[in-house]
Amino acid sequence: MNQTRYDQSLQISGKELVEEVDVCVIGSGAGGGVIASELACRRHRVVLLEAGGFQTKKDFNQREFDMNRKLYWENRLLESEDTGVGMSVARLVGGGTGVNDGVALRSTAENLDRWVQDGLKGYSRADLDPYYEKVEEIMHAQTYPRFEWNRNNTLFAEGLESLGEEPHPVPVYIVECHKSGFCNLGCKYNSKQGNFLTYLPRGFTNGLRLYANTEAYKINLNPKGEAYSVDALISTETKGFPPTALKVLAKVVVLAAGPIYTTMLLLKNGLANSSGNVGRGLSNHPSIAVIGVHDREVHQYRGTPIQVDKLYPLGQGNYVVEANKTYPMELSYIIPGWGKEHKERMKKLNYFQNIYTYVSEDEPIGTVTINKRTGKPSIKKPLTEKDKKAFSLGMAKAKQILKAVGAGDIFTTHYVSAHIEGMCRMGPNPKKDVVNLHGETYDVPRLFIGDASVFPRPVAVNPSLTIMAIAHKTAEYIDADEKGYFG
Amino acid sequence: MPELKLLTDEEYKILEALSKAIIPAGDNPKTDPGAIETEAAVFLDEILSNGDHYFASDFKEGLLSLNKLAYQKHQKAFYLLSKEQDDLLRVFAADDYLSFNRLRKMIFQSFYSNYTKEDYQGISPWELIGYLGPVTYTHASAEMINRHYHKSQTDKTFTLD
Repeated sequence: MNQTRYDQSLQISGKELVEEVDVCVIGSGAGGGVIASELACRRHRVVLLEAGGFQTKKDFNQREFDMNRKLYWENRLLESEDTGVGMSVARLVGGGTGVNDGVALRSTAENLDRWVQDGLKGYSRADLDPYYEKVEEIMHAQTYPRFEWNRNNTLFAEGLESLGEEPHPVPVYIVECHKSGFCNLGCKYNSKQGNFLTYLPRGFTNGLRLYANTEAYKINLNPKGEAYSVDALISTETKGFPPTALKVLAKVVVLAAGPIYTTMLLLKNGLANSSGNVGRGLSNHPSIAVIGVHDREVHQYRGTPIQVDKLYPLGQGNYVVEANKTYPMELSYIIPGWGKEHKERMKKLNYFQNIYTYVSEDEPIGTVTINKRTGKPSIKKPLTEKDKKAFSLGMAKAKQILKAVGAGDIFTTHYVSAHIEGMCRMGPNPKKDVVNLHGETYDVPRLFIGDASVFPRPVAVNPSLTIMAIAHKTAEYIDADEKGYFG
Repeated sequence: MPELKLLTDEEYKILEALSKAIIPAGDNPKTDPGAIETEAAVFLDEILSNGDHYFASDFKEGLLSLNKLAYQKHQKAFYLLSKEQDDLLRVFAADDYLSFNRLRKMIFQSFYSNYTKEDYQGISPWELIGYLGPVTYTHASAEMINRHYHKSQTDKTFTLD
């Protein structure tokens, strides 16, 4: 019989920790963090397992190399196997909310109407608005006045205005921003409201128990085929010391490890996949930076990164343009080429105006499977002709904006992605969907999925607010206990 | 040859030549250093030896594929080529983009991480591109003046936490 790492660890340490709770949540990001906290606030006994570490402001040193290794899966070098596109996936307490740009946008009514047309009754914009409001309040979402924008954002807005278009100020969950620009490397000033500063402390005061550096390996089922426990390993920072085995007995298990790792856990456990669609339907808002060079310094990497954007929805181009930053190490990867020309371009770093454009509703045709050699995710996400068309329109718009404010030497980069969605699709049809309209898997009662993997198609904008809003809805359903899971 | 932790001597020579092609020095290597001056290949050997086994093995395989291509096209090791290197890299990038991109990315990472050896005397990669670096670092005006007038200052010594 094959031994799991959990079994090996148990043999080495000779003991396991056992927790018995109402709810075990796997993953502390935008979805899992909200569900764990909300259920704890409603007097449930909740244990939250997080593979990443509990990092606080003292750990964030604002150096790309160090933080990529500390705060992201695979040192932020995870990439698709077909196109080599980088996929940034957070690995810390708070998940993506700890390292994103804090964008707090609600998805559009038209976008969510398409979800409703797919059968997601109860997920229209009007249905989700009360949940969005709650999230905005808890995360302190706010829009900054224009005089506080950095030069990169100001130039973007001026460019759009000179084209006769109105820029859209972006609300962010950042309080009293120190303008360092290091949102993606962890906020050293606790200005960016990752949920380790908002939701999780609310949960802690209500008895939520968190295990950081703890990777869930196995979801066990009882004879009725219901989820009833989770095996996990608590790793230690000290080399040579064996990980500690942890078993969490729970009445309800919520899997919210982010689309890629939620999918991986289900595939590795062979769970919830009678539809054959676990791992299918990946969308990722493929994005590209369009950069122009100015005569005077812009310092695109300083200041609150995203303050202004513009959405051209499906039917009007299907893309978003936004002012955004890139730090030099990542910039060096995505600027095409090498050699002297590449280096000379890098020397103009401080003069770059940086605009990102991404496909708003890319076609969810990507996949994640288990790489047989490494046991790691094998990601594939080709661009369709529709995606390419949206991309070219977005790039053209970005170039117009750059030209309008006098930028020269305009060039585009390789494409990247950060907003990974789908692969455990929510819907009304057990034959093709993985979870029902409450987020519970069709195949495994008591097992819920609480992150962006349930999205049937991408949201039109940055997804974190929508993930959190839906997590509220899922928590509400679990708490209502219609099926009597809590006895 | 430096003391290597992961790469073989042959792999190191390929990597060193490749890193020179990817990030060459300018006319004055002290004020315009490239990957050779900052010893990017040594740093890469260090971080790969501490990292994921599969990633390191793919990286090494990429180096050997590039060398194989050099033998196929020019009957010489990659590090013995001169002007032909650039054209060969273009062919390699077109044939095996994923391997090429992995090598390229890691060389850039090594250089722009700004980690240099303790005895490194040139200006740092961040100074080279004018990057202001961590806010905590450049906050004090005295430090900023230092950065502008004492170009030999490097940012941090070559160690892994």
